[in-house]
This record gives sequence, structure tokens and C-alpha cells, in this order.
Amino acid sequence: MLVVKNVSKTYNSNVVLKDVSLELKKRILGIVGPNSSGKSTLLRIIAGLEKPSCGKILFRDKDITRLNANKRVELGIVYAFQIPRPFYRLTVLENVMIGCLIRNGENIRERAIKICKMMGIDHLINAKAKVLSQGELKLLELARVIATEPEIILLDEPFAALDKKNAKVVKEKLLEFKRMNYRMLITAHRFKILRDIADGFVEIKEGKIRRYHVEG
Amino acid sequence: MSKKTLEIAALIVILVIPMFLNFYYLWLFCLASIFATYTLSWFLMEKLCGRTSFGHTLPFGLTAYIAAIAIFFKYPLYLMPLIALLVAMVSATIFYATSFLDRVKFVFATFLYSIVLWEFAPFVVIKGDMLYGGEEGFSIPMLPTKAVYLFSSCLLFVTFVFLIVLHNSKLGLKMMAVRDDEEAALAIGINVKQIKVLNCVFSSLFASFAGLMYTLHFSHVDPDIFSVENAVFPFIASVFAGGYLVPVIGSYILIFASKYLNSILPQFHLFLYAIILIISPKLRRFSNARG
Repeated sequence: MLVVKNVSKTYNSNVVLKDVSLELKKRILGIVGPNSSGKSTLLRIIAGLEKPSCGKILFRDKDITRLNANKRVELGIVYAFQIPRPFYRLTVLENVMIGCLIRNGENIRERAIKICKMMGIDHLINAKAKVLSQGELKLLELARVIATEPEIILLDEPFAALDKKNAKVVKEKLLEFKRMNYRMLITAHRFKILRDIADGFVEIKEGKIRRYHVEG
Repeated sequence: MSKKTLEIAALIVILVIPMFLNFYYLWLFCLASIFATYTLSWFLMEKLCGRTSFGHTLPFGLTAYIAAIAIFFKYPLYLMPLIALLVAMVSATIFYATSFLDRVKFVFATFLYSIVLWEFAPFVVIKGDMLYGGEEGFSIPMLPTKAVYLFSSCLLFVTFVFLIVLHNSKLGLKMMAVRDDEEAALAIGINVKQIKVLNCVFSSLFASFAGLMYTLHFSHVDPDIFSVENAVFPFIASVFAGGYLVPVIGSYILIFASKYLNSILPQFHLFLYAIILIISPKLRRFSNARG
């Protein structure tokens, strides 16, 4: 469904990704590696937020390498930031409604409320995003992503900067997404944290794929 | 009654009252309504796209200038909206190209446009049996103040209602998302470039039509239309930014206060502008905290 083919990325003379290739065969693929290993850059390239120096991104056998990020969201590939980036001056409901707008359907408000309920943030719908805690912001980020009706969700370190309690809540939500049959690419520092969620793992180090482990 | 309805009703009252006043006040209210439209056009870019422009004298002044020259050459009045439209498109293109700069650089770049136009305008000279333009500017035949007021108040009303409708629309929501975080907006599927283009077009369009009204109101345009005073006017008038009525009232107060202070001492109103500019960061923080 999604294929990354020989992707490299260089900033000035600093090589961040070297000839990375992977395929999202299973529903959920974990990308594991230490800091500065190129995980986030890889997800940002797949999302269209950055252009690769060379290589290709294929989605349903179609080359989407030169497609803008917003067009990729229309195709169903959506990215969630490591540090949540909500629209701070808007309310929680408006933030989720913006995600719903992409599909141009009717009853956007009702759909957004439904998603807020599903994510457990329906009591905050009239609150401005700037007053939310880190855990609530993470849930809002996930709600906004779900609102776009994605096929593939790119989650950049979803447990970063969360305490144990909030990390558990986010994990439960990701397991719920799994039950709902969303395809996901999730980055993390360690295997352990993704063990219950991912169907397969890729280990990335210094911009290169070291291990590719997909069960079944 | 909703807040929106109340704001619209309040604006209608503000616009109708001058019809019953004497010529001087009608003239003054007419000027205030033109500057209120100019401020709202600026506010559209600031509030909905987060871009603070000190270059709105580009659509405002350029339309005023070109319309004055066109009327001077006896082009019919019905062609003037076309001029406003063309200038708005040119201005929107320039604003859009500038919007790729970061927010701080955008402020300085747009300010530069105003300064360049201000410096360049005195060189616009038309040689006929006499010299026209230059420092003196261009004069055109006078129009009845009541007629100009009717048009300018209608323009202000349309701009005001347009802003309220836009603010509460899907497009307005997308604009506010782009205002808060361009990359996050892109990542959620918003066509950021398209939203910026639309914002620049709407903002320039209303500023251009306000410029046209300015020419018809004064029957005269000179290089001072591009002055720093006019460039910072919308910023000062909307310093208490809340809803859309606040910048309108701010513009009215500023015009009335300027005329009064000018009558005490020429250019004394600039002192008021300077004070508001100095305390503007605190005022903005206060109004943002309230918002």
C-alpha cells in the first residue's frame, strides 16, 4: 500500500537518511531508533512536509513524491506531530472541525463532537487549545488526525513528553485505532513501548535501516 | 439577540446618524467610514491570517492615485471600480509573494512598500499646458458629499458583514488555522497557499475600494496618502482588537481625535499616534488575554 523506495535526505552536508526503503504491509509498523536517527525526518518525508533528496514514495502504486502534504491528506496519509501543534487560539471543537473540513461532508460539527467523545475530550470542546495540558493536547492531536478520515496515520513518537498516566491513555487510544483497522506508522525510542501495538518493527540508526522485522 | 446581530445593528446606527447632521459632520463621518473600511481590510489580514501589514497604503493609496489620474483624464466614473479591482489584484500578488517571509520580516517588507511609494509619488508628474501631480498631487471635480457618504457607508457595511460571515465560515476557520500554525494546517490537509491567496485578495480588495472612496471624498490625492501616518493607522485603530466593531469604532475615534488635535496645533495628532504606538504592545497583550 505504502512503499518508501531508496529515500535519502541531506541537510547541507549532513546526511540524515541514507537509502531507506520500507513497505507498510502489515497494519501497524513501528519504527524504532535513538534520537537523531532519522525517524521523524522519514515520517515527515512520507507526510510531504519535507522533500527527499532522492528516492520515491509510492502510495497504491502511484508516485506521490512530489505531491504536497495537503494533497496527501486528501489521499488518506496524515501526520501527527511529536510535540502537539494545535491551533492555539481556536477551541478544541474548532480544531477537530478543521480536520473534518478536508472531507467536505455535511454535519461537520456533529462529526467533530462525535470524535471528541471517542477521544474522551468532549468535556473540553469549548476550551481554547492554549489552556490544555500536554496529555489533553496529545488527545486533541489524535482527534484531529482521525477527523481527516485517514487510511494511514503517521505518528511521530506519540508517547514523547507524557507521564505514565497519560502515556497509558494514549496507548489505549492507539489500541482502539488498531481495533478500528487503521494502518499506522509509529516511531519510538524503544521496542518495548510499541510491543502491544505494532505488528512489525523497523530499526533505524544513523539514517540507515538496520533491522526489518515483520512477523507473519 | 446574538452578538453578531447586535454588532451589525450598532454599525447601522453609526452609519445612519450622520445623515441628519450638518455638512461638516457628514464630511467627517464620511472620512471616518472610509478609514474604518481601510482598517477592516487590514484587520482581515491580521486577525484571520496573522500577518501584520504596514503596507496597506499600497492598495489604498495606489487606487486613490490611479483613480484620481483617470478622472483627471475624464475617464467615466463607472470605470473606477475596475481600477480598484486591478490594483487589488496587483497588491494581492505582492502581499502573497511577501507572505513567504516570516511574520516579522513581513511587517518590515510591507512597511518598505509604503515608504517606497511615499518617496516615489512626488515624481508622478503629468505635463500638459500646466504641470500636474508632483508634491501637489491631483485634483478632480468635486462630488456631492451625501452621495460619496452613501457609497462609503455601504462599502463599510458590506466589508463588515463580509468579515463576520467569513469569520464564521469554513473558509474563515481554515484561515485561522493557517494564522495559528502554517505547517500544522498543511499537515491536516489545508491548502495553505490557496488560503493565503484568498486572504490577500479579500484584504486588498476592500483596501482598494476604500482608496477609491478616499479620492471621491477629498476630490484630491497627494503623495501623503502613502505616508507613515496612513500606513500605521489601521494598526493603531485596532489596538483594542476584540470583535469587528472595535476597529471600526477605533477608526472613528482616531479620525475625530485627529481633526480635533489638528485644530489645536498642526500635526499634533501624530503625538497621539506615537503614544498609542508606544503602549500598543501592552494594550495588545491585554486584549489578547481577554480574547
